[in-house]
Amino acid sequence: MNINFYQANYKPLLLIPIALAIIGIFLVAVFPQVPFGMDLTGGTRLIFRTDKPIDATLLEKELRAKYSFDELRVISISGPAGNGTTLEFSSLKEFNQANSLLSEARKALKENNLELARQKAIDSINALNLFVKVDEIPADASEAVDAASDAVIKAKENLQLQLNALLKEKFALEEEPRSQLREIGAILGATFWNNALMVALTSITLITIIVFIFFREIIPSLAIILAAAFDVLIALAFMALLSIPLSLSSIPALLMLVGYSIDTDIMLTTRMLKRREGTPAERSFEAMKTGITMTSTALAAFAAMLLLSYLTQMLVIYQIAIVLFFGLLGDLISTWLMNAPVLLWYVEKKKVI
Amino acid sequence: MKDLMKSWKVILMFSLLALSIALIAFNGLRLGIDFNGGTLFEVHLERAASTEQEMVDVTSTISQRLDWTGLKDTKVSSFGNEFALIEIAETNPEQVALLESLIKKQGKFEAMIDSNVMFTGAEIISIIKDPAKGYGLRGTEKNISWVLPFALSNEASQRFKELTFHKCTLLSYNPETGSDYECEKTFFFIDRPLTSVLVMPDYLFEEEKQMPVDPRRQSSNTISAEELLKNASVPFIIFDKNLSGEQLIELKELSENHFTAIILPETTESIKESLKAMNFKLKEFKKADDEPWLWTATGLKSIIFLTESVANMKAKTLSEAESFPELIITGGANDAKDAKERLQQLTIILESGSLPIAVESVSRESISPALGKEFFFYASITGLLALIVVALVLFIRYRFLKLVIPIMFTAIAEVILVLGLASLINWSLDLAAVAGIIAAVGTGVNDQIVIIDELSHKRKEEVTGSLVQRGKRAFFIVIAAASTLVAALAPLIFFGFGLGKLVGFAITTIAGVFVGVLITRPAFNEIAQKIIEK
Repeated sequence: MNINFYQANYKPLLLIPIALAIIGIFLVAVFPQVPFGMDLTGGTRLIFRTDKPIDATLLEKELRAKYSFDELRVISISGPAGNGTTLEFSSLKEFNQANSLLSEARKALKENNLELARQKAIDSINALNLFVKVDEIPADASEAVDAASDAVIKAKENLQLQLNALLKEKFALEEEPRSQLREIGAILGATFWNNALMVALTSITLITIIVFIFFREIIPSLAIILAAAFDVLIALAFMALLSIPLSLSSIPALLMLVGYSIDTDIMLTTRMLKRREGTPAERSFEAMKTGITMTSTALAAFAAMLLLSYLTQMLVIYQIAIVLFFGLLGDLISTWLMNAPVLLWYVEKKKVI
Repeated sequence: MKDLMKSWKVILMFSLLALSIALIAFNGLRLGIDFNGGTLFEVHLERAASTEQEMVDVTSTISQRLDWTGLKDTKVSSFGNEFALIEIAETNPEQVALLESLIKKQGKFEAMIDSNVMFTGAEIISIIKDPAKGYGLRGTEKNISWVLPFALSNEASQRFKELTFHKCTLLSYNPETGSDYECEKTFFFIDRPLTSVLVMPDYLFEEEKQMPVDPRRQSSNTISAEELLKNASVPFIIFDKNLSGEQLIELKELSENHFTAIILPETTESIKESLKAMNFKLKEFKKADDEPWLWTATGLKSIIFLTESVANMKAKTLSEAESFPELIITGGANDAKDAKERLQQLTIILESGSLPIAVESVSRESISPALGKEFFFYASITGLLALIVVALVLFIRYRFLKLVIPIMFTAIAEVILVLGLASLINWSLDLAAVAGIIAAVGTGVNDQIVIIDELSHKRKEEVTGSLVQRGKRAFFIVIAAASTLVAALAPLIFFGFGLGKLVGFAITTIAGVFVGVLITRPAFNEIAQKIIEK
């Protein structure tokens, strides 16, 4: 660690981040791309914590045989912190059908086509016969539509109860599973996404302004922002590789990554531009010692968060930790192999040695 | 060490630390549904509310409707002009489904007199919310009343005239002040149970034999249970411990055209079984603290007295009687706030609890209390583990316990200060907030590393600048880093990211950063200077 590679020809170092950036862009934009989570697209997620391990493949087979889920994903984890299963699907064929029939019924009711409204309501209820039984459908059209709307809600409840029962029976559970249910409508998901874009845009603008205010020199400021962008790219590339979706938790984590990773860049830039002791190469090497300590404490903390939250299915913490962990790995490269060489170059050009 | 204790920065940190601990101990920490369990509904409205008042109407109508179910501890808030958020402690799928349908559907309003329907919600043409036409509060603070005018359809106002005609009795006559009448009561129901039968224990019936006409307020006027039940026109069975043979026969007959039995949840299994055997569907209502069970069970919302003028006391015969297309309900109140509440409640009742804007869709999140407990436990462990691994890494790097201990002490102090702040502003903690705290502490540790390295830099070689100057340089880095982090996360708060779900993450992180920059970092700087000097 004591060989100061900045004293040798440091310019070729820049090739490493450039190559990684190209790979990163390919992973994010071309293949396999970052998936959109159900937070943003709409869907249902159930998390079960159980007293016995659950075989995900077996459960998935069982579920596919019984129900017609769209985009079903089942993941199981067993470890010292207990057993957990995450079940995600974008929709269920019967529910979709019932919902669209229900909205047709509502439309017919508005147009005062009572007979059609009642018929569509009945069809909607019948589409759900796997989940809910309605003995008597009211003769009044608007009451029939209300009954159909209730049936949709009741069907969701029964699906949850059926899944609970299926888990208990198939895997011989002794205790009632502890559960979390998250259901997001498609419109809400779209709202979240628009919201996220606004937030990201504002953040980026504010950060750029702040960096320029503090350093007031174009190239060093640009280098800092470029380094942050590189970190986000690396985090996104790992998300694409590990199919970690873009979600309500991972988007704020990406913003936080920017704020977090800039710490080391700021420290480096301050020491390079505002200090006069030693050569620039020495200064950047000293800065690297400090910076690596900073990043490694953070990496250690996020690794601990990542591991525990994965085992215990604390999804919010997991998605935040994974983005920060991989993003900070990227930060080691962007700060010391990209920002540092650029600054050395800049300082030498300015001849302020 | 002695002169360190004299530094105001260090004193400030310790006193705030003590204050935070006291706050957490006495004021406590509020936990969100992630840790307590519960359900959050995100209600998306069909269109954006055009005024602030309209959005307030949406949330208060939802609160009122939830209130009608006897549900406690509900929190209804609005988000922007298109979303309403409802937080409840309930997680049982059955109850949650019931609530969801309640949110989506409006109730059925009926005004009854003598077991006859006077008018229904559908027959109310409009509620005249125009203050010029009388809607609102009247009088002075001491003697305040409220007025609610509304218009009925022709058919309904005709029926109203017939049903209310001469429904007052003369109490006394005074040539100076005129006649003094006592008038009949009318009963306002939402979702009055039809084709249902009430099956209640005798002790409860005894308890509610006489009820105040307004259960939520002091009043000398009372009504009897019989009168209420007659007006609701619901058949009822009162049992003593168990159903008698006669009652079973009566129920059997009722089951011909009544399909639901309304009972208390604590009704014995044997009674439940016999009701089920007669093909009754069971509907359970808990007894609320602030309302007689009979009110909840029959859906009675309000009792309104007729006045002699609407009862046409001056007209001699029905044919001479006047019909009123527009009616006015008025009432007294204790003060302006009370009057406003009563007016608003009654308005919502007459509107059958219908929302001014229809509900487009409902999304939700439910966490069972057992899972919440588990999350709380593991989130705490995660925080602790993060602290331990950071301490380890620092020890490996510096191999100097005297430096690692103050860093870790500061980190823990920051956690306590942020939690103290959360307790002060009553911010509810969730998983995202825990992630935010850990991240904020992480930046804190980063800054302390910068301070140490900056201070101890080239200790062996020539020193440029005093310790104080270098401390200042370290602070430039600390402030710049903190500003960028705040800039990155503040927009999450502005835009209420994820309908406020991830705002906790941003708030705790930013709070942590501020606590760090303003309180703990200056104190740490002093402490570190002393350690480095040695």
